[in-house]
Amino acid sequence: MTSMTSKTRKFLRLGLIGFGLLGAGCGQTSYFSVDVIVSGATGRQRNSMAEVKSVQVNTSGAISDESSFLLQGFPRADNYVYATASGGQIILGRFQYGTGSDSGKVTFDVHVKDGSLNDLASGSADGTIKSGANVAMSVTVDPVDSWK
Amino acid sequence: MVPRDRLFSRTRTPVICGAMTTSTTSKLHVATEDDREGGGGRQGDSPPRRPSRGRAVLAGILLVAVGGAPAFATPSVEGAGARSRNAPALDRTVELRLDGRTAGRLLAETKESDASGGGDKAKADETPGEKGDDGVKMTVTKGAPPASKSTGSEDTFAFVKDWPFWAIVGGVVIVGASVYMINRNSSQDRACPGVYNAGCFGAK
Repeated sequence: MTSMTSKTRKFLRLGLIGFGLLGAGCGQTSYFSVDVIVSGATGRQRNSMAEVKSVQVNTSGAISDESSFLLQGFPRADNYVYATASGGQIILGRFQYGTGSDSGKVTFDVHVKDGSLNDLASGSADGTIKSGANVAMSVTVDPVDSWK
Repeated sequence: MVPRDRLFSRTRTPVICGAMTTSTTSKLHVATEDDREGGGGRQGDSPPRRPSRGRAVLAGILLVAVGGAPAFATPSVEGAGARSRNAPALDRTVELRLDGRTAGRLLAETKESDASGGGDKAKADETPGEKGDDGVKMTVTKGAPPASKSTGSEDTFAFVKDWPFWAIVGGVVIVGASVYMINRNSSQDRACPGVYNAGCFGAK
């Protein structure tokens, strides 16, 4: 009888630990909300943004899925209304990236390209994972001399 | 001691005592002088009579004749023990369709029983398993036993009435639903909010 009770308690403890691990974010996805901002005077001119035909992002660090992708919606329409950050800098695009890792850092390497796949601007930044939460961050790309 | 009036008929012919069967012919009791003199002493008032040689010969002839003749007093149903070994085989044959293990065990038991009753030589000579003690010829056939007749659909699905069956079914259903829900919730496509004008990437 006593051993039966102890076994039942043991199973209950194991169950609670399992649910606790699930509730604590074990296996949950952590997200980054990333704004791509062009620095300098170019980043404040809307006509310059019309030259951007694609934006490639390479990720590294504590990632669990794809590590290279193209941002959607490029090239933008002529009448596209860009959002702006503080100081009037144009936010070229905003994307979300998720990782299954519970801790660590994720590095975002962004390349803004023209129609010939030449780099117009590039830059990188890293963000620290907050398990199960969404971390807002920005990657500022510096335009090449020819795009300034 | 045998009374004189039973030993001899009025015609002075010997009388066979007991049941007149072929098996009891050896017990044929023929009255002799010893029966009348030594066994009975003075019996009755008639003087003792000495059997003549002719009577003895006649008794012997009768003995031979009766021994070879069919015994009408023999019961119609003859016991197996009284049956001659030269008698024809019984018409009744029991065929047991047994599997290999059961047949072997049965043969072994038959051998053991024959070995234990080793005093009876006639029994020992008999092939084990060929004929039983009751004279019934048994044929042991190796092979799969015949399929037992199904007693009906009620017995076939009797397990449905037992609670462990439903406990197992319930457990399976609950576990299946849980696995399905967990899998669905973990792999469902996460909609990309509209604020992300450049899309959503990485893990969902």
